[in-house]
Amino acid sequence: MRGWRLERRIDQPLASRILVPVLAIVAGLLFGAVVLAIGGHSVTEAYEAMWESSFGTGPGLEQTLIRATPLLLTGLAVGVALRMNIWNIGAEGQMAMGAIGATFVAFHLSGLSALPLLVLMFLGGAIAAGIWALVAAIPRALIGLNEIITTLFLNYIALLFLSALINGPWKDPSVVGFAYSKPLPAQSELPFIGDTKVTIGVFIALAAAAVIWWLLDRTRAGFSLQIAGGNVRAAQYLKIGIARRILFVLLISGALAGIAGVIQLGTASGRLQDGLTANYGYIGILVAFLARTRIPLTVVVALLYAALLTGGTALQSTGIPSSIAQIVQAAIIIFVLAGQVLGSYRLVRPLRGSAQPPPSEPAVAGGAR
Amino acid sequence: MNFWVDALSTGVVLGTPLAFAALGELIAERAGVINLGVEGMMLVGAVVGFAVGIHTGSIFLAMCAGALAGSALALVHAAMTIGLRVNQIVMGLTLTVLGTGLSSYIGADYGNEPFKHHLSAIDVPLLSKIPWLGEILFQQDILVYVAIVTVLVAGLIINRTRQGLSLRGVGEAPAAADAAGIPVFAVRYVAVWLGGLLAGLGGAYLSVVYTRSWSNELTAGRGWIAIALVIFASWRPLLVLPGALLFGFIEALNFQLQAKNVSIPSQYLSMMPYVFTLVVLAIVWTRQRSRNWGMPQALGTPYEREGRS
Amino acid sequence: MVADSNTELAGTTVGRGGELGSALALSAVGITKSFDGKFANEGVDFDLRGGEIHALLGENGAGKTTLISVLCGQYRADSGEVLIDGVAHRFSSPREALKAGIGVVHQDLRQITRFTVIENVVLGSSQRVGREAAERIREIADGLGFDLDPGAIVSSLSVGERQQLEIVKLLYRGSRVLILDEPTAVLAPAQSEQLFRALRRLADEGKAVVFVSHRLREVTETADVVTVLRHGRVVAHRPVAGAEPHELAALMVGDDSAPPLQVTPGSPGEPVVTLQGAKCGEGRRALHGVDLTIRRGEIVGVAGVSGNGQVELAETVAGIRRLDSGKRSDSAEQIAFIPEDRLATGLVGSMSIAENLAFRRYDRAPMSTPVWLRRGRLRAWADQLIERFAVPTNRPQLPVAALSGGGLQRVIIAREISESPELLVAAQPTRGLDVVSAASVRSQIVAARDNGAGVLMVSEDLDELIELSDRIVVMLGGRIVGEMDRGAASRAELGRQMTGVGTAGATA
Repeated sequence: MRGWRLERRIDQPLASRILVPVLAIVAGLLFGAVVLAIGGHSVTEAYEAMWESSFGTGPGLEQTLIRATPLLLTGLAVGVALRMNIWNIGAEGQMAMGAIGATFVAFHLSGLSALPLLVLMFLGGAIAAGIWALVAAIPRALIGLNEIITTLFLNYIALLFLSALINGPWKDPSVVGFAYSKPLPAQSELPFIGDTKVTIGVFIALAAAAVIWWLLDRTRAGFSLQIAGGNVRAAQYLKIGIARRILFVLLISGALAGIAGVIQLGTASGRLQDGLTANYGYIGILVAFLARTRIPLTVVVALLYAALLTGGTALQSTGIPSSIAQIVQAAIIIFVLAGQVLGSYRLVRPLRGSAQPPPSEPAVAGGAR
Repeated sequence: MNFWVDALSTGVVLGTPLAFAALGELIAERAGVINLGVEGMMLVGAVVGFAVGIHTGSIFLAMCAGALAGSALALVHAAMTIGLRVNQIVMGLTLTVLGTGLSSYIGADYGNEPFKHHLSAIDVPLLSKIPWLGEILFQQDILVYVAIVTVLVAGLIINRTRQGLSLRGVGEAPAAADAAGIPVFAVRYVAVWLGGLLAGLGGAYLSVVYTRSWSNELTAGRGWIAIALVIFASWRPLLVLPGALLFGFIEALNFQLQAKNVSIPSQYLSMMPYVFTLVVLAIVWTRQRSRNWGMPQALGTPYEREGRS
Repeated sequence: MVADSNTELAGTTVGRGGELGSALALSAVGITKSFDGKFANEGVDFDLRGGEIHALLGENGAGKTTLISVLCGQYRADSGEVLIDGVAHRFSSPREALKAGIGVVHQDLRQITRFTVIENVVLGSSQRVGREAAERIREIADGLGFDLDPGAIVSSLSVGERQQLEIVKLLYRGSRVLILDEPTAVLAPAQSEQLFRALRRLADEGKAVVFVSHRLREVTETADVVTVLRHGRVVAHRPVAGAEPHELAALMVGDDSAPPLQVTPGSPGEPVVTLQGAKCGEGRRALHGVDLTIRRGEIVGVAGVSGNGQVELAETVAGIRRLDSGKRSDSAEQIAFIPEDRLATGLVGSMSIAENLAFRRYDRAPMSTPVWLRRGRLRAWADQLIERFAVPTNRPQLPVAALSGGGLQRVIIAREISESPELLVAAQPTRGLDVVSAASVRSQIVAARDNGAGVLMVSEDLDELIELSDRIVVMLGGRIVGEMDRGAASRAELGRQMTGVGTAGATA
């Protein structure tokens, strides 16, 4: 095997790019099957239940869409920042701040009718979350303070703040044992689509995806963002301001996560509560990375992940532990990640050594031309 | 005054799993690998430790099993991030998901069983008679002392031995360490493995010693706190102890306050260490580059020997 | 001893110390290493003797760094071995090379700036940080005339001191072969002298010392033996004594063979950029008072061994680098810069070929409105450029990193020249390119000049400079030390001026 090497390749053929993730998903499902078998559970029963509850039936599909909504938004949030090589680990906290902001608006402007109230709630949530993201963006832009650390910590703080609010000034006094906020005004509820349980949040998320795609792919600003994220020196040479763009990107990122938080309010029976964020902020990081920050792929990955989440909760009624869904999720991700790395290499045969002159690449003085 | 002594004493107990997990993460990060899967590893350690404890009745075996379980998960992290050079952040998060799922799956049958064996407190002769301090620090179970000693020993090793120097070198500049003849990949693998080992140990402590039961929410985010603790301690091993004590104390304080129905929102108290850390970081960040402490400069970046510029 | 018909063999080596036939410390045989299908080293044979100072000469790209990386275990050679004391080695890690007694001081000093001196020295060895180690370090340092404080933090040391640290570190680890990669590049003359004194002391102690250099004066004054590399092969291996500097210069740059092709001379007009007393930077990689005027319609070539200020000159003329003192004035509205390391500076590898082609005008009409980016126009523009400049691709949506060196350069040239610049600054525009691409790039540069641009071209390819330039200036040590008009320049003359031979007052 002497001389055979793994060489990085620039362009992965389309066939490979599709095949590898599909194989990875299959591998993950197989892994889950093995775990199920070891635990003495029926593989077919488990997977059938998961499929039924996520894609196979109407109500199941609704649940999947409900979960896909915040995932798409946080996936977009993290993905936008990742385009500039910035890791926004703080989507979870930004979601929380978004929900807090919207709740604040709802409580204080409860006299408004539905449409203006909802618009202002979204605005409030996006702004609150955006500002929260700026708290991490500013030190990053000014002194290069690692944003992974700052956004992570801001998560803890934001979630604690949310808890403090619903246990404190916003606590519903009639509820004992659990902590809920007082109910939000009725008109703040997001309307449903038809007679499904899915709110128009889905459309908002898709619209956000379209806007972000347009922003990144079709505007001058997005183009310059790509340059700034791709090569700092090239950006400097072209006089593209880096600091400004760091702030801009994280602001948008935070706002997107904030919108996810506002939409989540609707799913929590119109109240602010602990667990509202349900780790969607962290999963969003996975979604964005798996989708390589490509927008259409982010939609697909968010949907698939949501299906796994839905399938998991549905298992509870079958007696099969719902945790198998988490195991499958993790296994699939691990295989996809491995596939991403391995797929970017190819096997190259050894070079034949020669006594002849090297291939005609004279770059230095005296070379034959 | 008993109130404070109780809180501090409980704080020491609550801080023990944090100290273990944070020390483990610190070791991995000093080698340059960030592991966001600590929560998953603690959970796996907790459930496996608990199961082994139930079946064997031995606390010692339970702790060992838990530690090994955590380290097994860490090996996955090591293989993927060091061997395949997969992104460390994403891999760590995935392992948290995996650990949460696995622990829940394994623990499905153990939800109602209490662990009957009690790890008794050890009174350190003489020292436990010191008023207040004696009750807080010297009347604890053996694992508390193990934690303290482990951290101190680790600090000694990291700062004063050549193995520790190699570890730190790998985390600061793997190219320089490689050129000096240090096996960079091996060091990283061992560091990450140790991280998982200690995280698993911390988790096992929670299930086997502290609550003597298993539930899905057992760790309640302590793994994440451990990650924060490493940063709070500025990656200095000796600071892990006061840091763990602080976080443990705050948690204990919150329990006590709630038990007394005090309406001070405990969350603001819990926030303080994080806010404090952020402020300190912002002040110190630019100057830490020239000091012998701070974030390892190669943290998060995979190493490739034939990387050509 | 390895016999090779290609090299001039020294039968027995007479070191400056006067010893005959010193022991063979290391013998590299047939080292071959390639990257991406191109040979960086091909069949390199290399003998080192204890007690000698050996110089390794060669231009950028000749393969010196690759050879060193193979010797120190950083790279695995494709084939060939290193013989030490009769044992054949094929190092697969730096650790093995260190154990075999080979130590390298790299150009990017591989140190941990946060650590102290003693920590860096002891790292990876079997000793601990302590008094014993500190004393030994002081002992070694004093023996070489270095003043090194074991407790100092490396980030507080100067570059010269850091280099000293590297040397002490290698000696501490018992290296018998010391290789230094361009050690004087970052040193002032006084520091260089101190370094060479130390190297001589080491050689006298029986160590084999190798240093890579461009500066012929250093080589002729300090080294006992010299090996010249060109295109990844050894072209000479001989004692320094009795070698004429201009012979060595000729070996390095190649012989005076092919006659230059004819390019019509330009017709220079108004000045487009002027430098007066330009100073910036420190050390060699700096400008120490440069006066230069470039006029529209002329090509000014810059010759010089790399690391003598050419990059700084190019960047200063292009307006990218600020002067510390002196004046720069230009009358150009449109300046184009073709950087030396294309992918690192001028392009974004992950973006497509078409997008990279649009970097200069994506933010203006007609390619974009205040908000929108018109992808259609972008593609049309890219297609235009691809055709006009023969960029080798039929899928412009591919990431630009997929292109070869020649393709990358064409992309940059296309992008920059299509803006009809009045001033064009090109740094090593044809380095690493295949014959066809290189010819194309050259013709584009000439075309730009014929369109009225003033061109500054830095190049290591002397034939190219002679062929294209209307004027050639020679840089050495951050100053212009010579100037020749078209027709008056020859390889030999350029080689002489570049290496400071026979030029009064040249600093080498």
